[in-house]
Amino acid sequence: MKQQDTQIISRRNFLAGSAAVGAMLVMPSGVRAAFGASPATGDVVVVNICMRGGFDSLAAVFPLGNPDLTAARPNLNVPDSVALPLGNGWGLHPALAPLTRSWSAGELALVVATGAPTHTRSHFDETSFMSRASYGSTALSRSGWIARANEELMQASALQSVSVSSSTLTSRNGTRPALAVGKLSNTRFPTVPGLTNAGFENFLRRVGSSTATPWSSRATATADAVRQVDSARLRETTVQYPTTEFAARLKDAAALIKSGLGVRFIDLDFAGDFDLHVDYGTVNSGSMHTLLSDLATGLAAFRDDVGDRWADIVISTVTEFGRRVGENASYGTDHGWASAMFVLGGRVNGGRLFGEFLGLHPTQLDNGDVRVTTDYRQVLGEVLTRAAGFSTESLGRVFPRFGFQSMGVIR
Amino acid sequence: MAVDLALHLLRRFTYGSTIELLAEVRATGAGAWFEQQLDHLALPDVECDAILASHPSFGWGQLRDIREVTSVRQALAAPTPPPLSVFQAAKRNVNYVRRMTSTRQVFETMVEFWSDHFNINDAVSKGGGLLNAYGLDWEVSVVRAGALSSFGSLLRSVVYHPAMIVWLDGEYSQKSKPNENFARELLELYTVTPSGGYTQTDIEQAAKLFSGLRGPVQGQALTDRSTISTMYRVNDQTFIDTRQQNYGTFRVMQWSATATQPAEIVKAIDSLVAYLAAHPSTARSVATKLARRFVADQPSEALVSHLASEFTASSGDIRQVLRRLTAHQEFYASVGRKTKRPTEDVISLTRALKMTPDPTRFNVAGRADNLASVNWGFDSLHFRLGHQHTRWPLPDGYPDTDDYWNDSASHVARWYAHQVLVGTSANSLAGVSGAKWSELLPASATISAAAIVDALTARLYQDTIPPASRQAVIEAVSQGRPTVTSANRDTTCNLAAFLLVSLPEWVQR
Repeated sequence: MKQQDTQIISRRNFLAGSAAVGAMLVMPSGVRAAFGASPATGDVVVVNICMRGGFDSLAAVFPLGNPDLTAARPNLNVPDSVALPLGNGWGLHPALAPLTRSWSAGELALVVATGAPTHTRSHFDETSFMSRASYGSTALSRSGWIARANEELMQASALQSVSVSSSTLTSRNGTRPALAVGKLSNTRFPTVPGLTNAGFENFLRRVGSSTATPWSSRATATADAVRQVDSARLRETTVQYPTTEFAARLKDAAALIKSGLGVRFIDLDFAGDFDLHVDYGTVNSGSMHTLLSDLATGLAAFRDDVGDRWADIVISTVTEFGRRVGENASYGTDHGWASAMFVLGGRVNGGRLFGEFLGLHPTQLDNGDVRVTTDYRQVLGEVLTRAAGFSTESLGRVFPRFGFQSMGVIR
Repeated sequence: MAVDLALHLLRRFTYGSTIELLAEVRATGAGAWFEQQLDHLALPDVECDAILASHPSFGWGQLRDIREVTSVRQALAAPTPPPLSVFQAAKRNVNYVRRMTSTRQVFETMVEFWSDHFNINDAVSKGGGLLNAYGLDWEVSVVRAGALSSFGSLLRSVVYHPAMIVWLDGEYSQKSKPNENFARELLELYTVTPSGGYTQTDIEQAAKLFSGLRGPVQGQALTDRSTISTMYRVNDQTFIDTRQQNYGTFRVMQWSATATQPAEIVKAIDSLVAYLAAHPSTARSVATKLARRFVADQPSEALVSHLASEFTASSGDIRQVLRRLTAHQEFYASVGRKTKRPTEDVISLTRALKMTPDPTRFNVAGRADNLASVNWGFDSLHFRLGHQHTRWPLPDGYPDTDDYWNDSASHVARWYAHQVLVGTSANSLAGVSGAKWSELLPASATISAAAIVDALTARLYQDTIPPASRQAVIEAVSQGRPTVTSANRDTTCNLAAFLLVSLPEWVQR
């Protein structure tokens, strides 16, 4: 079922380097005929990784031999000589080497020139819009898209939707998941002499029924979730994870998935800040290298840890915006628009680049920014419909007023 | 039902009411007490001062400028002087001590308010660690000096402060490529907000105006910039790097100014700050935040307009806006409608149960005058709760609505914090003196579950709780301790206190 007609921007086209080359479609030539046929509806787990701060996709996945990129980034550009070629005229930052295995195995797809329809360059506005996936609609402004997606599923488990984040940075979704985990090892009942876990849970239910507040209902939902986590035997992993905070979160996410608790959505905050206005460092060390290395080593360990469940997992990364194409004077970049998404998992139509990339010549940019040609909701929509089994009607409630079209990222 | 004005005021404008404080406010009168609080420097603060004098690291948390920090480091005889982050940890500890014990409670709530509004996460090692050190002076000379002053003077001190210059990348700005980070947040977060209607061009113009601003030292060698001939001195700690400064005519929204030399740049910045501070959109944004902090997550349009017009009429007098806020009917109609953020939760617990900081419980490395690290369990507790002082990673400060804090990770962390604080490990794990139950119960109290629950309810709530909640606590205590005796009185108190702060009413502010 692999799409063979996916067009990749050729190296030659880029070497031509002129605006006359124009738009080059790298999307499949048509919407899959198979769309609408029943996708597998096993316990697919959707893992949404939020790369906060504005992810500079041009530092991570970029066209090789592009004179506009080297002109715009005399200091920051990754030289072609050290980039990891993807075999389609594009290259990866060498710190992403641990992901090349997934690329070769066809389990990693890259979607370029993707992002939000809005172009405010504001962290706060864009992060808020993106967690809500809500544009121009006040009715939805207090609920997050993951919460809405969760409501579309039959509530089979209290732990259907989980967020794994630092407690200061759980996404601002409005509607919270049943379980927000800082560290799984800390997700425990209190230890108070004279009070059993059941006694405490009963107490919370009793006082919650007489004083019903959002706080009391969250308290009882938390107790319910903690009891399940407590009773599940969280399998100790033998996989060596790197000692990063991101890896620790992925390890907790893997433990939850493997424990059969019915987890379907995991909202996971990448534990680093991509908002690098200054000091990217070099290709081999420094801030950007560390961030990308954390990303790649963490995901590679996670893939090993989940084992057979990999077939039912789809990971996608989102970020509030990409960066300006031109570097600034501080060896960094300022806020831009389009970025790229990584989509990984056993059901991914990987080893391919998706998206419509218009080029990096100043005339092809929007105020110095890569234009968004693929709305990030196209990608998430594909994950929900083709991997997680959502009907188009369901998807319409998750992403209202959005014209979804499948693009083939999921097999 | 009559609103208990004194109790409501204390729950909103202190880190926790106590039986004693409530009695004092009732005797003084709520309005008169609030006026005393607004004149905070006139209030004696004996207990807090004594605690802060009791441990050298507290002094480190109150150092002023970077030169003082470096001289302390040099004066220390250790082979390896403490890292700058130690000073920053000490700064957080000083704040918790003040919230817990200071008589200047309204002032401390406003220190937290402005720490959020102009949030600088000075625990990150930005500027080669300099931000850690600048953060001390920021706290003292910007946030604490300006917390109850006028918004315009506070904003002016923010714009020129080296901590802000490093935090939002002004230190790296260049004439030909001005860094936009500070200019953007100045407009988006600190003053007019997007409703003010600025454009990307306005941000770029402001960034050009700020392109030369620099802190007092340069490079890893900490070269004093006053020794560099191309530096123009703005004030004691701030310079303009004349090589990186743009000149000409600057336009931001309806404001413009022309500057052709450094002294005129300072005048132009001052006038831009004054323009933004006086802008009606700034009045609304600050009014909204104050109303959200002290009245309701979603304050009414009427209240915001009322406070915004007072903000404008008083030229941004923060105290005057607070007076209007506390006199507004919506303030009194909002009893219990705010949710305690984690620091308010744990500190109100320590205050109600008369627990005090125990500096002997600092996990220190090194001699007392030469600490290599100072870790206080109470700061670790805040870390676990996701609410350490000035450690929110983004420039917009900790969220102030209950939907953010009411998540399961927060519930689990509060269970843990409550368990530690009311239990026998309070001293070892949180670094505070544990509750002395015998002093908290009336001498005449009979030893029974109900008597203990009622006595601790009075301590924790200074009020009654709903009968159904009271009954649930009593029954759960009786289940855990079927027979209450003098031998198990303290563990019964642990259990009763834990259940009382597990009630939904506990987090209501």
